[in-house]
Amino acid sequence: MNVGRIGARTPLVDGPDKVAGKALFSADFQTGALVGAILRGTFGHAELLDVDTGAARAMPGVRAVITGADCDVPFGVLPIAENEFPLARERVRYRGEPIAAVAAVDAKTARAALDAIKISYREMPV
Amino acid sequence: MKSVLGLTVNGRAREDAVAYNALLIDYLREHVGLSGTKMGCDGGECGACTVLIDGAARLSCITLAHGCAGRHVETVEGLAAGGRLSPVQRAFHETLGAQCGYCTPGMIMAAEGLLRRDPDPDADAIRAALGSNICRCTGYVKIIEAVRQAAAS
Repeated sequence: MNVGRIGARTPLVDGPDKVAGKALFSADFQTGALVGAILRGTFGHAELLDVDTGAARAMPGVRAVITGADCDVPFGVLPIAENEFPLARERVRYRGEPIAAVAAVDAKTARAALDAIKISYREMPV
Repeated sequence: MKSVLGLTVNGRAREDAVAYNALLIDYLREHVGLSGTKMGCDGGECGACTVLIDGAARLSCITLAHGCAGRHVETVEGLAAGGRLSPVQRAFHETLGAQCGYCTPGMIMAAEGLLRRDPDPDADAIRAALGSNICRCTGYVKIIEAVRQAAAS
């Protein structure tokens, strides 16, 4: 690096592409990737009685639906606290906890699949 | 349900079968293939999706494609005619008004819309015109400098 450049502006090598709208960001690649969506709990504390994904699985364009039943390997930040599951199993412990996940051909289908999942809860004290 | 949408995109007349509920940004990015227009917040708050409709800056993520029937839509790709950067694009590059570059197309289109109605805006007018465009990298000093440089060129 030339010392004389200190204090001088160095143009970005990809600056012209960025200002021209040609720079490609992840969302710009037309890869045919599936769209994922997560169904989240609406209670602070509840027993999860049933998660019925039958209707969602049957929808055209839905490629996968998973629930806590598919996630039986606990994880945690520390080895001594590996007591979390990526999707709720048996109980929902906070509002917004992920309960089910969907992969579909587009965002609209993924959202419709979330709406088609039926959850039975029994509310518990918070 | 789809119907034929006729409009002008970057100076070129088009007719496409487009769903009634398609948003302008999805039409531009997925149908026309112009991915320069960015989806940021998906709710009309961040300005990354700004395009010009009949010369005025508009948010393409809250505009229906069919609402642009018969109108002239311009995107960031339309500014660099023949591969030469426009004055606004060149100024954003030279003043380092673009960093990660994701907000940049929206910033540039908002600035372009401003300069067409006010060729010599002061800093307050620039701040007002770009007030709904959010940048999380550079801050706004260099962006405002870029618009002033473009106005002077």
